[in-house]
Amino acid sequence: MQVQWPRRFRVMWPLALLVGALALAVAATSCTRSAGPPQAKQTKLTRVDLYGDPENLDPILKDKISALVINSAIFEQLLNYDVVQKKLTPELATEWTVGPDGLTYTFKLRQGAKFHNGREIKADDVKYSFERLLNPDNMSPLSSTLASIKGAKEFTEKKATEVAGIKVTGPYSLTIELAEPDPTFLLRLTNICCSVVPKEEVQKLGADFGMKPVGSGPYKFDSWVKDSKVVLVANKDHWAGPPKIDVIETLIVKEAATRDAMFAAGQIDYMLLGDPQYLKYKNDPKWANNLVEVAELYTRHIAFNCQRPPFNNKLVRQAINYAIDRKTLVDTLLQGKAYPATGLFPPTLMGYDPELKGYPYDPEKAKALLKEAGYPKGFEFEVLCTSHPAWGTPAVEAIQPYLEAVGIKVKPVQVEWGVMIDRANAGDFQAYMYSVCGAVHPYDWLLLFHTKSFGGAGNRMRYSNPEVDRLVDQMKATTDEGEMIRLAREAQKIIVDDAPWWFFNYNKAVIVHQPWVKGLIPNPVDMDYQPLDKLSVEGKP
Amino acid sequence: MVPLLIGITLVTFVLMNVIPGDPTISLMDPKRGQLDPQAAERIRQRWGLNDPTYLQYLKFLLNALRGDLGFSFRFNQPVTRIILERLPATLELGAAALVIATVIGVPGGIMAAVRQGGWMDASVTAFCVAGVSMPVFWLGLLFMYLFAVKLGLLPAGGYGSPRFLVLPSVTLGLSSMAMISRMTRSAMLEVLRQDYIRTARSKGLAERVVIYKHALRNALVPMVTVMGVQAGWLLTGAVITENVFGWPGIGRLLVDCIGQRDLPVVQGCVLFAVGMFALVNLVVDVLYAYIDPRIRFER
Repeated sequence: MQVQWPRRFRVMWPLALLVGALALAVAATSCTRSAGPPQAKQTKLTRVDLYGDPENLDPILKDKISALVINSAIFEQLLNYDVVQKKLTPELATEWTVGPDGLTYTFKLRQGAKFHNGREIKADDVKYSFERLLNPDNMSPLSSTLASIKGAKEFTEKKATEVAGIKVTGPYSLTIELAEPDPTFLLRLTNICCSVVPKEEVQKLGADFGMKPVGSGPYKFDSWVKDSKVVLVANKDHWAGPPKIDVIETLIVKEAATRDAMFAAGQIDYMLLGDPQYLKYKNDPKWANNLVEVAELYTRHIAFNCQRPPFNNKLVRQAINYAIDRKTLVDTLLQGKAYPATGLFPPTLMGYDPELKGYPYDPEKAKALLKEAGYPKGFEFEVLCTSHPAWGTPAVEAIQPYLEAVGIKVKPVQVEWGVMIDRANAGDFQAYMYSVCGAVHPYDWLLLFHTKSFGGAGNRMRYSNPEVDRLVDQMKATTDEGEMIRLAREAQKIIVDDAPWWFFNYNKAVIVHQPWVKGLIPNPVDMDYQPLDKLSVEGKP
Repeated sequence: MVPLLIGITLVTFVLMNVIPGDPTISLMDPKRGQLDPQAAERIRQRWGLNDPTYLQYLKFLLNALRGDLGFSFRFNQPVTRIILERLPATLELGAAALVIATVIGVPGGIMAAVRQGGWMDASVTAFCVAGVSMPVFWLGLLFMYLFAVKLGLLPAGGYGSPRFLVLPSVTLGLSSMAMISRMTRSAMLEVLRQDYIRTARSKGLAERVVIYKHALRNALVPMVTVMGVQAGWLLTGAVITENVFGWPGIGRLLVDCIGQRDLPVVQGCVLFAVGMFALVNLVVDVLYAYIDPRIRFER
């Protein structure tokens, strides 16, 4: 007779076997080194994208930071803007001059700069790239970047087969004539959408050019696992010499807690900090010295609809500016991850006026102004906002007690960002809370307050002051930087006094990095924008 | 099948058009929020976004019937390609989670049923309750901190070699495991009470034979039903797990595209989900016929 195993064992053995197999699998996979032939030690930097997949890497198609940062390493433009020194530097153009009329720009191109496919860049390529941006068939949302070039309008409307204002005068020289003066023209040329691209690759790849971009920059595109990872490799033949880091990997991780875990585990080399994470790293002695902070070029505010009561009355808008204690809010609600706003321009913007003190916290003055405006008992209003922790519903709820103290009841109406922008553009709001502007030139900031920019162009407040309009128009025609700054400051003073916004704070952008990462800069435009070719990794375990 | 697809795509279409927000907002950078209105208009015209709603739907339907799921201007790629690129990740995760759920859930349920009232039963039941009540998000982060940060054994997130698959699939598999083991247990209990089991035991058959050949076989039909439902859910993209671990699957794609109002891709994802559920149902039906000959002969 067969020996009967006890019931227990007979039923348990399959389970034990399977659990054992699983444990073995975990142990095996965690011990395996990644497969591949042994290579010489390659330096690798892993950065992370907080927002999502770049979607498409064709430089003319995307205005989103996810694509812009990666493209800043793959592609090059005529000029580059150094955010730290606040000046233009040569990239594919080595010299440039502006004609006395402010309309004619002459560029001398760098010789020996090559595309990633080996071909040298010539002036024809620049003309091709700019026309590609302006060509309506390419559906670029950024074609207005070069709209000030003479002939661009006709080309975009298909009335001409080329842009008359772009003239190739030699294999390495180019002249661009503008239709009207544009003080920001050279800055516009530094935009990613003005990158120089190789015609033959675009024609060969078609729509796939956005999936396998070919540029001329310090890094070449290597691979892209959608929604997961983009890998760039160093361009050893770059005209400035090979960059220090061999491989740059961008991981796409939208969840902050996951990023924290990955950073702590050493999987990520540096990352931008969200507001809730800031204090945790600042107070941790291990990371406190590995933070890079900057006052970003973004002013958080509540915008008032200046065409509708009660905000069509300047006194009311000023009252709100006096009624709220910005500094306390920045310290408590934002936990120090911002700078209280004194005016429109953040301290890192050209034209920032350190003399401008802005509105102090003075609830008595606020009450007096309200009484003068005809609202002695206060009033109620709604603020459209998103769920953003720094400039969304939490912020509106934080100002409620301050406004209540002067008799004003404010109610947050939370909507999705796209919906808020749609309504703001259409003027369907009393107030909304937002954060702008990200531009490097004060002219672009002031355009947001120009009468001609009503609606989607930026002046959603429908604010109109002919004096401001006049100053901004004058700025457009000026070529002297000192004069331009003087005009900007004057315009800012008027705007702050007219208070079409409640000026809240300037964002403090912070990056935390592993100790072996060197070369990160405090970039006020966007901390994500790091000069990837100038970074280095030293002492990485 | 076809009326089902038409119905579902119609509902999706209506819902996406009812929610406020224009697809061209996806062109704007959320930080700077600027968009050239002329460029936006050009894009709307090129992709027929200004057409009346019924016309847009009809165009989509006619194209879909020819196999063309449309084009996403956000990616500048055809929808089919966008979905196919993310398909392997979803299937990997779903299959791995299903395997883990089944391979541990079924034996666990069997043991709990066989030793009903014992410590095994109590612990399996407790585990089931925990598995169903613990939020996937929290569980995932817990595993991440334990295995990746503290122990350094596995990567915290991302996609790549099999190492990256371990944590997400265990996290995802856990709640399915709870469901499957619960169903297995109750199905087995039901069957073990039957007279034919008593007959089999009194015939002198080995216990292993009684449980696996006689009891389990009969309990399989309800178990396969539950596993089918779980498989359908796991294979169509588990959004939360994908988000927590940075796993590039279809679940994440769908949620992203809804937020960006990318209707063609949303339709594509919905069609994929419907197709996947239909496939799973088909497999389950075939399995029924295979498991239970009575069903086979009834047809």
